[in-house]
Amino acid sequence: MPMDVKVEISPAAYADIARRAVTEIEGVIGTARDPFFGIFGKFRRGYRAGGVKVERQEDGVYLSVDVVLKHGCDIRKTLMAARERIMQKVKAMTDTSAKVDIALKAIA
Amino acid sequence: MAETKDRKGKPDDKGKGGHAGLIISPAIVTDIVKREALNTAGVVEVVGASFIGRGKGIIVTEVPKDGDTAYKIEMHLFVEYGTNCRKLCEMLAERVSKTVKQMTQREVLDVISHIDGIRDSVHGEGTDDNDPSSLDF
Repeated sequence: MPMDVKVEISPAAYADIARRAVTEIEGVIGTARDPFFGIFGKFRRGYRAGGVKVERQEDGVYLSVDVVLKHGCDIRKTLMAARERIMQKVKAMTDTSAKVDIALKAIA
Repeated sequence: MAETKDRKGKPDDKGKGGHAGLIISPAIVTDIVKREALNTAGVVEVVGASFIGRGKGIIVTEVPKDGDTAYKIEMHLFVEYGTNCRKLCEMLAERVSKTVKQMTQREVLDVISHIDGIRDSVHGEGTDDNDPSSLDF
């Protein structure tokens, strides 16, 4: 009888991938953590951690990422590159397609 | 922590002559699985059992099968950034079942892998609130 292999990827893992992927892009300092996520986030839909919101959908996963950029960088290009990188990394690591919304939260 | 009703394991029923009275504790199987997982490239950490002893870590369940005992294994892992989780889990399941079969002469029916997070291969750098890549705003 063939062995049954099941893999379950937690929302925390998706959030970790997104957070690490954005920091690979030149001009991105990191994700913007909302302190209220920790308190009120528990009552909202989806998983939130460190500036990343994760929601499972039928056809994949939805990620909403708040980022902090360096002063002087091209915002549009950097955000597009960050979004692309997240989608690419999530696909490569989990074989799941991701819809990514990215929001600029601050310049540092 | 192994989750089973009988922590001492069940005697092997294979022929009352040769293997009679042989008991393999699920805790031993847990240990084998943990070692195998940590020796697999791409696995950074095996999540420790919670302090109440249930729910996380490695759960080994004994299942009766054809008059013998088989195992169902559930693992909670942290994997290295950049690793394909599905391929890693398939490879790990193969390795785990092969080693368990080799060492206990019992089959593994099910391997369920839970990816609980992504970590760097260097220990001590986590994804918690102290993560330098996330800032308060």
